[in-house]
Amino acid sequence: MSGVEAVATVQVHWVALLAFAGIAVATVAVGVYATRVARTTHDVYIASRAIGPVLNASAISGEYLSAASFLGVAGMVMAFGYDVLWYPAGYAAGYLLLLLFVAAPLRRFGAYTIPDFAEGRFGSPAFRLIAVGFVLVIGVFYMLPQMKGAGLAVQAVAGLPYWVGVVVVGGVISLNVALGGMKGITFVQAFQFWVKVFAIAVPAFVLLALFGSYGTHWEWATSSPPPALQAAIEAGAAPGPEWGLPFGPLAEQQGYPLLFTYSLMIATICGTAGLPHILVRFYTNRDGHAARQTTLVVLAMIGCFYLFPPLLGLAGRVHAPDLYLSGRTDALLLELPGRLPGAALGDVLRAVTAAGAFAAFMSTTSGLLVAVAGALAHDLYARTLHPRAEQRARLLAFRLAALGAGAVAVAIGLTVERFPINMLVGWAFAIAASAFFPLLVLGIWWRGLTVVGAAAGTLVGGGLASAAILYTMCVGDGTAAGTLGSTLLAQPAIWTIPVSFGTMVLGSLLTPTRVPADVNLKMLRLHVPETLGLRTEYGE
Amino acid sequence: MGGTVKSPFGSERRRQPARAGAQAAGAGVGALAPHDAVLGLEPLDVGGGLEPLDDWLAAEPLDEAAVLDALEALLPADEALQEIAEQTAYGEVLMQDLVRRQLRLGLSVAAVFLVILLGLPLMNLLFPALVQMRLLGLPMAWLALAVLVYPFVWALALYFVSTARKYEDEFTALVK
Repeated sequence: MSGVEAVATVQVHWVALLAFAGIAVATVAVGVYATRVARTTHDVYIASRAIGPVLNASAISGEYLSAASFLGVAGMVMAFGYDVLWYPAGYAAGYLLLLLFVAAPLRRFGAYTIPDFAEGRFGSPAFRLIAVGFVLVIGVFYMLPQMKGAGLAVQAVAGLPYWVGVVVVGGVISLNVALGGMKGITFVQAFQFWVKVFAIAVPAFVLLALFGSYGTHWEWATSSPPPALQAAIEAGAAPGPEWGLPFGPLAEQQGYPLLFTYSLMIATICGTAGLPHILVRFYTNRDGHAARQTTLVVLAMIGCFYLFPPLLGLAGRVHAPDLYLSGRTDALLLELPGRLPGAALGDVLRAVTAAGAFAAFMSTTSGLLVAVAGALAHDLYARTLHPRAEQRARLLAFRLAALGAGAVAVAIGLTVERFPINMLVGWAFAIAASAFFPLLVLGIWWRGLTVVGAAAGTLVGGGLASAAILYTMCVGDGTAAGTLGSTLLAQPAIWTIPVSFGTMVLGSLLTPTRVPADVNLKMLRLHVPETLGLRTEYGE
Repeated sequence: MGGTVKSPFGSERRRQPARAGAQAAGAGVGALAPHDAVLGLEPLDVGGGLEPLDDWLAAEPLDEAAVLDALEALLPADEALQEIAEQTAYGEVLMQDLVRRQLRLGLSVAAVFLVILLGLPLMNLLFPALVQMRLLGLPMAWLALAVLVYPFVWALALYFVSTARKYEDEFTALVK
């Protein structure tokens, strides 16, 4: 956001700032209150499994709808049009695959984390460490855009420098996670989900009431643009009517639009089922069936949420075309209220969207911190380094890991101002989809999977995806080149996921003797319904 | 669960009744399935059996015979069930059947979803005029991807959750 430093005249929006502070205080308050309930490590990690489907689904949705969904999708729809609709559709549809193949068996298996599953399923501590590595990679990748969202929002609302938002928000979130753990986080995130839904629905309804229907906005955005938009189009800053058509400005950046679209869809759809901070929440369900019900509620919740960002992106194109000229479409939701008639209405709506944005990066970062700190404290410390560690020591390790990971996220977050929010998020999905999705699907459904095949597939798939993305980030500037190679490197999921699956299958077929001797027992634990009375709490 | 299950009692003797039992049981599924009754059931109280079971589950890798014993241990101490429990391979077959049905269900729903969703870009490519026709004031391509995709996915999910639950209830009813 290079244009932002230049705007020295950004005024301080006090009402919005107050909303920010209100959300932060409410978040800490809920977390502190919940701390009284969180006593043991078990509680902190999985909230005693005492959480019902609706509360749990609110928390999952709250955790899932990040700065990328809240700010990024609307801004990107405004910038690139139709093709961006694949992002939210893929984000939502990912839960379908999660539901079909992962949710209930993973809960029944009873592992806390993906590394728990990796070791528990194959009896291999080394595999746990590989999984821990990818949890950390995905967690860090995913935290960076949240940090950027925080910096951006504080900048837009308070006129403060980028780093202030990153440091303050990062600090508040880390402290809250360290104090309350997952119990606090569950309530905080459920609360923040409803803040976000409210914050995105209200401006949308106000716009529709003030100006006209969805269809009317569509006409303005495409066939009959208002003068300001027409000027932006003629200036070359805004895309023309092709904005509303498939294979428009976004896919055109790539030389192979259909290929790019498919790869993007696959990354978002498979990536959801491999996100460590989402999967960790499935252990808080009472049983396998409750895990499915929770997913169903999540699908309804985020489905409703995602109806709004495309509409707001459309409205942004019509009512705030100046953002094309300043290149600040990522901040659309924070800027749009100021374009409405009536200063008071604008102030109130800006406070609402600012609160939603704050809730968005706060809840996702919290969830990621729990996952990363859990991987460090639970998988690395309690499982590998100090298997005999006391409850108290583990809890301390979790808290220190949360603070440490938060500090790392803040430090790196300060440097990512130049990357678009959804770019980093899409890459986190691609890595998750390549490293963990094949492992979970094959590990749950195929008894022939061996530890050699599984570990090789995770390493090869996750490694190739990470390498392709790092290359695009640092060397390749793949968005402009438009060759087949650069398209495949810019969004690698379409080939890294099949490579990962293939490696797992091939590696397993080559090492048939390494099928775990107790594979039948593992399958029982994954698939026997709880109504039979089987209760296993793996890991404690 | 391969067909090569070795029962500690000798596979020959065990497999025969297991298959017969599975068939007989399968035939009774439709009649059994008292959906609501199963839904209303409390989790089985296995009392003191639970902790030893956990210890056992946490133990070293086990052979298949022990797995079959485990299935036995899962079953409640009911007279009629005791008989089934003694035919250890029977539970094995049921389990295998459940996993296959669940997987087939998941794959079917995923196939419907993928065909339609992956078909959308193809429609956009092949029939650009058709997908731009207006419905409710919006082009169909936009309406499908920005609005209709969400209730569609939810409906698929609802179908899956209820059907998967039905399979599990039938399984539970059979084993009980």
